[in-house]
Amino acid sequence: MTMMVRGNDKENHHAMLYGSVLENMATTETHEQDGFEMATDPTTAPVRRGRVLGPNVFGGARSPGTLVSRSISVASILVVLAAWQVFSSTGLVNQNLASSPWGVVQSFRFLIDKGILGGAIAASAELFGVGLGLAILIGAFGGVAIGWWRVVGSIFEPWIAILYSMPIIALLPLILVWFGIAFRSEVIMVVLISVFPVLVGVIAGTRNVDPMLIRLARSFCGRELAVMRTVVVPSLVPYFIAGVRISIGSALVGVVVSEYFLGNSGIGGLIVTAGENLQSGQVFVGVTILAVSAVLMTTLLRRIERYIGRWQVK
Amino acid sequence: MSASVKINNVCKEFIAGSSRRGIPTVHRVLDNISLDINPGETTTIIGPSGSGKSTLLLCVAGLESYTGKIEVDGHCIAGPRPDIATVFQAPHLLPWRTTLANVEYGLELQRVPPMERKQRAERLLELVGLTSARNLYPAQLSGGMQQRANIARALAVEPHLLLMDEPFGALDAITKEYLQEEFQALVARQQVTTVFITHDIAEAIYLGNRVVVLSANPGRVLLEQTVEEPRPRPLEWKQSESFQKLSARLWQALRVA
Ligand SMILES: Nc1ncnc2c1ncn2[C@@H]1O[C@H](COP(=O)(O)OP(=O)(O)OP(=O)(O)O)[C@@H](O)[C@H]1O
Ligand SMILES: [Mg+2]
Repeated sequence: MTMMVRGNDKENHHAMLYGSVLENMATTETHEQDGFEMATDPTTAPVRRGRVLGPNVFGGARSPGTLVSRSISVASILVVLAAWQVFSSTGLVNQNLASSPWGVVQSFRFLIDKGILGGAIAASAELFGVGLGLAILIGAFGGVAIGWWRVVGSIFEPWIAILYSMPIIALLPLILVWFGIAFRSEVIMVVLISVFPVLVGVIAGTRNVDPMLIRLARSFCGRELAVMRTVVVPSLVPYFIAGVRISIGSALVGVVVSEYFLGNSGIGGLIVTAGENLQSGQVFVGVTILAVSAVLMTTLLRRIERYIGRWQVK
Repeated sequence: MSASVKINNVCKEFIAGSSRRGIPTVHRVLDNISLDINPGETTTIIGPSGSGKSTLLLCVAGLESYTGKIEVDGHCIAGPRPDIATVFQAPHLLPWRTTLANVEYGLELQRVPPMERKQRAERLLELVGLTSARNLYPAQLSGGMQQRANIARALAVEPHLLLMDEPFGALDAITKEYLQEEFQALVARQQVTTVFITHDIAEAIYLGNRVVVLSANPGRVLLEQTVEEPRPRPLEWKQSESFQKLSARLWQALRVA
């Protein structure tokens, strides 16, 4: 999903069509969710009895029919791991360069025993948490302000358009010069890289609020803040979550990049050091931790989304 | 508990996009509308589609600008007022709120304390027959149920002036008659001044102390017909001769509208 939106954005960033991009994002989410909800709907259950191995139109992860496809996914990962192990054990690929699943496990143990891994994870988690947290706060409040008040929008939108469409990493040397090699520069980097998906999502969500609902609230003499709380905020939640999902990925990129260049600490630092020492097993340990945490966070977010969006259930 | 309404020479124009030469075309929707509505009375408005009925209602609600003068209880309308409640043509329920929370919504915006809010909302849910649906979300309600929640939400704020835009349009005949009777009794009992838009001539006569016929393009008052029958009116009155006579007269007026 991250890839899709990025690609899309590169193509038409001149037009600054982020509204439509994010709208697509939001509808994709809803469809996904419909899929899940339909799976729990007893009326559609008989359809799934025919065991079709094609794209499962009605099914979601929870339906029994996807047990098969789930097993296939697990098998796919196991087969690749096994092949990797076989290739490196038989010497078909160079063990020093490619390591092996067993080698990764050993590196994992080694890093834990040395007390390196715990510290690295803690450092990265702190950077990630502070950076993404700030990005979400700025994105949420800034996005509502920019989407709601036209003047605020006119002031900030050109800057958002410029920054969102350029590779933020290019600013890294400047950040280094201005703020030095320090935690704050790392945080700034993470925030800069991950703030825009949330920000742009919340702007689009705020502008897509049903004007009829706003009129309704006004007809009951609702004050501006009350209208925001009761109409604007609830209706931009899907946009917000779609933005956060992308921001999580961006923040991870930001964490690794700033650890590579600004701190040589955390998981990113561990990966760089391991690479320089030709410890490919340790590199894979770092990569695996990043991958697993990304998947976990995205899954958690989907749970939250389904809980918040339970009113969409038909 | 009832407001008087004075509508004086009200006009409303929409700018319908500028033409090539940059001169915007003006679309006159309401043309010199004048109406006097006495406290506690129900005025029903009928007219062809596009005759500006909804627009007139929005002007009275303070949600649309206009030229001329609209006074409610002697105060000029320049924006929404807490003692006016509007039932819009579409239900416009907040999709993330349950039926009960939707009915409480107006009260919440007007800062009624939660306990009282809930009590009033429960009472109105019962009136419109939605008690069993109180914890359902709008997506789980039928169109008619949504519309009944919409009506309950407006009645909950106990307005002095109630503006209703085809509230029973989406309902089946039986629910419609039931609600007409209930609504009419309620409004008569509480003496709520009501402006009620409808497409249905029988509904207009049954509910109205006065029926106003609007013409289309632009909207003008074609006819004001008083309905003398005292309220509350039994549903059987619809079968009476006096009712049929009024109905024929309004048909005639609408044909030239
Ligand atoms: N916001 C608007 N901008 C431009 N034109 C509008 C707007 N709202 C209404 N109109 C026009 O005003 C006219 C009257 O609309 P209105 O909704 O008041 O009609 P109505 O009598 O309520 O019709 P119906 O019975 O179909 O609901 C229509 O021709 C419509 O196109
Ligand atoms: Mg209308």
